[in-house]
Amino acid sequence: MLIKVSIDLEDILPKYLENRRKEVDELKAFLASKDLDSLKTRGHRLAGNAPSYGMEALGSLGVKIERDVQNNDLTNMEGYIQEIENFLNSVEVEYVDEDEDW
Amino acid sequence: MKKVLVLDDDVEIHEIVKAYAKGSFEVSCFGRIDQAMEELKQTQVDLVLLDIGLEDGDGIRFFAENKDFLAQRNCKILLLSGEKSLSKKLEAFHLGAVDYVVKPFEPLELIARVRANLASEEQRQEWYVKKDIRFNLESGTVFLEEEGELNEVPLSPIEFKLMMFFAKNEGRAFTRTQLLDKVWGETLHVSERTVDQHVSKLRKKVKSQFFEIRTSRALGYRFTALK
Repeated sequence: MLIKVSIDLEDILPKYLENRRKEVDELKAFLASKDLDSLKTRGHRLAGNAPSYGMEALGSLGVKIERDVQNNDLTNMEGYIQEIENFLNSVEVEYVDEDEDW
Repeated sequence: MKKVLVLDDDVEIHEIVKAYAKGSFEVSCFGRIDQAMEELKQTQVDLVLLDIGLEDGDGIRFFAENKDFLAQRNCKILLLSGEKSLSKKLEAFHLGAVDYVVKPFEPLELIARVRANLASEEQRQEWYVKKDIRFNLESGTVFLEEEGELNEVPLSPIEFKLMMFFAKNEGRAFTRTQLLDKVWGETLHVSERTVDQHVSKLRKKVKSQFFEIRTSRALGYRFTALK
């Protein structure tokens, strides 16, 4: 999956994606231990930061994680975490100048 | 260069603000309220980007509890939050926030808002604004904003000085002697009744929709928000 993001993010996006890859294992551990507070916090943060890094899909998954934890519904949680992992495994980034038409 | 403090428990927000702020303003980032307070006490910070949902507390509460401290340092607050509700925004603006940005934000827009607020501070130095009361510091004149229009209030120089003193010390009570010292100066020999006469004139002339000069029993006078 190719995602075009601002060239302003070139220095920080690799680290951001690396942090998210590490977070996948943490999310799995939170789910396994039913640590709902941590799951909710991570979902909330993902919802709040991912779109600013050009990662709308991750942001949407963060919204779903936070919402479902709030509703005490863990039915789809494993699926959301898998979607995050799949996204991170497939994402390719192209940096573009914000002034260009993209 | 202007200084901006980011108080947010998400380090990814720190990184993105730092990346986009390059060259525009200095950025220092903190994840905890106590760390940020320490920095605010030691450094002149022009604006705080304040997250509402902090791990160690509520950003709005932090703002409310430190409002006077921040105002005394001319430090502005721009709130960041995933909370989109109007009531939360109004609460923030009621406290005196200069802006409220909903997460996720577009980084360029956030930086533009910060820059606009920092710039407006420089432009506004000619003016001191207290809601509907506007003091022009250069001309020594006062204007009242009424239904979108600015109307000049004719004040004598000493009335202007007294009004300005009250406005800058909202909520604090002053005895007549203190007002004479602070406003008239110690060298002038005027009676305490002079203060009463000038306060009486100000009450008649400056009819703010938000503030009044209240008589504080045994103390003197207090400029305070209308109940």
